[in-house]
Amino acid sequence: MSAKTLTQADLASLVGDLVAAGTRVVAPSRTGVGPLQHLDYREIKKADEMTLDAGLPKRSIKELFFPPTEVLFRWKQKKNDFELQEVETKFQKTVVIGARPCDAAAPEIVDRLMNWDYKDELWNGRREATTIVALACDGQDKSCFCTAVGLGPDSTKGADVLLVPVKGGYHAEILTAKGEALVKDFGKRFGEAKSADEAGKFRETARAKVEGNLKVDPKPIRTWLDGHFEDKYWGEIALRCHGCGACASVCPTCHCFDIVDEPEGIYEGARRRNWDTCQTGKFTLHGSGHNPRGTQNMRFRQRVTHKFAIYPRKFEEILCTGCGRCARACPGGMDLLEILSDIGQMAGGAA
Amino acid sequence: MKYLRLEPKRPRIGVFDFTSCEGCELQLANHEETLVPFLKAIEVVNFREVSSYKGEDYDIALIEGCISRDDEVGRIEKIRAQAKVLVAIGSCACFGGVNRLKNAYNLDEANKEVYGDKPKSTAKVRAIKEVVKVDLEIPGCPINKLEVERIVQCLAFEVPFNFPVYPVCVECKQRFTTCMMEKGQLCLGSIAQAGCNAPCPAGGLGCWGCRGPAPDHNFEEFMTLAKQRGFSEKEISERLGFFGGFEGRR
Repeated sequence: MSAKTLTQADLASLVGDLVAAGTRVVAPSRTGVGPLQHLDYREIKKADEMTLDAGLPKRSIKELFFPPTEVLFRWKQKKNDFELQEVETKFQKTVVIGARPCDAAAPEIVDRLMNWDYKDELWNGRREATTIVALACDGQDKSCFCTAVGLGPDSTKGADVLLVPVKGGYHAEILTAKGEALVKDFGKRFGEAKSADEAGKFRETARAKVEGNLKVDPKPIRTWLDGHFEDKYWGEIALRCHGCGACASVCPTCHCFDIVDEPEGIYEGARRRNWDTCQTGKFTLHGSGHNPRGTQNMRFRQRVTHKFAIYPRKFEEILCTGCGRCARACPGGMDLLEILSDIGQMAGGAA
Repeated sequence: MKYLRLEPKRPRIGVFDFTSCEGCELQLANHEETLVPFLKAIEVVNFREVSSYKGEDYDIALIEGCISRDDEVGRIEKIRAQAKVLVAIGSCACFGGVNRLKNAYNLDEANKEVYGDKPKSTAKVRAIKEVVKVDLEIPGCPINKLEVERIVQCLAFEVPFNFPVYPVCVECKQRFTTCMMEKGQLCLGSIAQAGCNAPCPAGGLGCWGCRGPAPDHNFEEFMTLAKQRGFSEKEISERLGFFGGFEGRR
């Protein structure tokens, strides 16, 4: 791992260089008008469309690799036969600039699943085409809890380059071969590293800020979840949940999908992969009409258990990066920090 | 399951209207892009908005509108006796629709208000299922042609069809529509049946629940949230009653 310096001006030039080279550049950017204005990761053409100092974008970078809906193939009915049309599996080279560490970490966690028994061509194709330049965060608000799941506002997991804000620009840590390649291709934009100490202080301050939001240990939580599938705690947990799926759609690690044939007319259609969520009843509805997860309480137990016990058991990774979006987005006020804190206490009491 | 390599069947369809605006029937003749294959996939036996031919040997009857006059009862019973499958289309047929608002008034007064000194025969509004057996309900005001196409495609190829079993909220999330409640509007999205692809919130209007309640909806939490946001019992009750789908819950 090596380090470099990237000034504000050089970062702006780098955006121009990348766009000129035909690379798609995605960065946090302001969108919407009036009170609905917010920050989102979007494709940008010029550096001034990028906003790096306004905190966490509303949605994560998940959809760059896993779009809300995508066509797997199209079909056309022809009398007694049919015709199939395959989709493109080569993707445009992409550089994400300013991904927050909680977002950069998520695709690496989901990589495990997408390459477990079946190698997902579409996911992997997009992953390979994308370089992630993460930006260390100074802690968004009280809903951040990345430090509680083993990450941090300065975590390097999943990032190819990590930028840490320093006076006049960024201290850049080059973390992977993809990161090295970016520095090699655009060498004139990167200077000698000289602010490692200042960057270190920024990182310490940010960590201390986020650590105050939620102090739990994921290990006893996992043990508690494994032993308490039936527990009175789950009995009323989802009273406030509407089953709207907001939590899953903003979650950087939620990756469940449904594959359906959708008509595009009467004699043709497409097989699509669409985002799905365990928070709706349809998710586990059997053909017989029976639903093993018949109540919202059972569905919410699934959400917590999958993230903090089932996925860790299978892949040794917690399926959560502590971005806090689910807590911010929930219309009913379901708060994962509150739930983890409750379970943490119950787990501590049992030990 | 018959699919793809098999020639589809052409179901023989009759479309009939009762008390309604005929807007759902018009929807069936909409979406010009796929209208030709749509009409090829079915055999229209009786559908006055599409063809002047009036046959009586239909297998599937699509019913628009509710029952609001006594003479409509005999007509729907006759159609029921002929049809192998009877489908209620639109909010009027499924729940009584906007027409159901009439039930809140004295029938004679309502008659006088509308027809003055030339009163017409009138009765309490009933949904189709309150009068005859209904095999399938396609809700919506109006129905969504794309959804009807999906259903017809499934019928023609004998593939099972399922309605979404989640609330409209999920479709707003899929479209990245900003929450109407966040914008300060009353919205039934969290308790209303999805499948419409949430066009109203996307156009800036909170959901009016034309498709009726979603299975497993969290009604208590909806009421808490709506009241917290300053909507009165009366406002919420009027919204819930508008299309008749939430009868009994307001």
